[in-house]
Amino acid sequence: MTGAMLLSTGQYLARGAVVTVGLSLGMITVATCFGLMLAVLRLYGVGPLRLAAAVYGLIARGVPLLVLLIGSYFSLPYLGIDLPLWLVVVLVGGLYFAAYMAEVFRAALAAVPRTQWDAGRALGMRRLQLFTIVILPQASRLSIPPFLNVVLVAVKNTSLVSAIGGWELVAAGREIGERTMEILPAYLAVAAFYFVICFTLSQIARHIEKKMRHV
Amino acid sequence: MDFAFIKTNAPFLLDGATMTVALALGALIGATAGGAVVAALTMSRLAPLRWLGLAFVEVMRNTPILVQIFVLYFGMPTLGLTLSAFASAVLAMSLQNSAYVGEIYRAGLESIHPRQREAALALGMMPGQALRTILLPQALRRVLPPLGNQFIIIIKDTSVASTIAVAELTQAGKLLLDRSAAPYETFTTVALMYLGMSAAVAGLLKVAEFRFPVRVSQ
Repeated sequence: MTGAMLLSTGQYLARGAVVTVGLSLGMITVATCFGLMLAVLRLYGVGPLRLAAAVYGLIARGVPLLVLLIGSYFSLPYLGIDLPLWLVVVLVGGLYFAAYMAEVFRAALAAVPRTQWDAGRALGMRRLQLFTIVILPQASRLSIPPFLNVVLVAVKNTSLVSAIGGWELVAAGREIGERTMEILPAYLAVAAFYFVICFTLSQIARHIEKKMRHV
Repeated sequence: MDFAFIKTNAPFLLDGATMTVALALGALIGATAGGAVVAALTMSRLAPLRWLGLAFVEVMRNTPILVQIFVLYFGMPTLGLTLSAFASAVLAMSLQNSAYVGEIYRAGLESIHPRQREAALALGMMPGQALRTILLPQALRRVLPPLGNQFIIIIKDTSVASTIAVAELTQAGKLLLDRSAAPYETFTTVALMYLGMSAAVAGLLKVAEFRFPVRVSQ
């Protein structure tokens, strides 16, 4: 490979990485919103809703994401719903990782001492007010390291998008491999891109975790 | 809804499920053995060995299993090493999960109080003997739950082998899809079969945890 080719290859992969990061951000946004809702339902919800949230978590965590992606991408048109691939990925991936986020938030919310609730109520706060301005801020701090771990898994799982015909980092690597016949270097370069993104995330998580242990 | 189609093709899906179990068991065996090597490296007293172990763990955990499978299946033949699709998938999953399982072993061993080892040595045991008879039996009980969870992740990850056309459950579902145009029914069935397998492992794990409880002794 010549120097100029190497440069353009790098740029092409970087464009793939941008798509990967974009898909991850979309998935994580959906997962965070829906996951928080599931966690609140499981902790404070009424009977049937609490059960529904628990069952949802068990189902989502027992089925491979790839199966859900293939299933929904090919089923939705038959049900008369026509969505672009990226939106299906963001929604399905988001709903899938919501089940993992729910576990993260549930543990963090449960870890806030009961006395915080008692103190808030003694000050005359209403339940919702107490939850949003006293409990949630403390829980979100606690949830940062496990949250980042789920983000890391989500980033790695965006690679499955290439298996249903989407274009992102792995697909970019495959194209380069096929065009240059340098298949092994192409995939190793793809792996390197993932490594940089994920290693950074895991180091941030580890750093915050360590800092919190000293408090 | 056309589940009659699923019924006639049940043997095909079951063959796929059998292949999924074969992949998962292969990866589990590979990872339990590989994990021991990784734990021995990361806990080694020799710094270069420790670095090697830690580097392996970081590389394996921070890259997607899909890319690892592609490197082995599409990349290795360019170096003259051709592996079958099944072998590539099992090897890639064994390597990645060796990293996770190695860290599980390490956490299990480190959770046993150092005084247990000191007490064993004070009683005149050899270090290897202390490890075998005092530390490992306790650590094994503690690693059982995370090991079981990792096995559930392995089962779900086997679906990635469909990207290199291993005839496992997801691949069987994809083939039925092309043949039938009943994606909704096909993938509900496939999803339920995965759910059944995950639930079976989770159930076995509960039984094992009950049978081998962690005894807190400090």
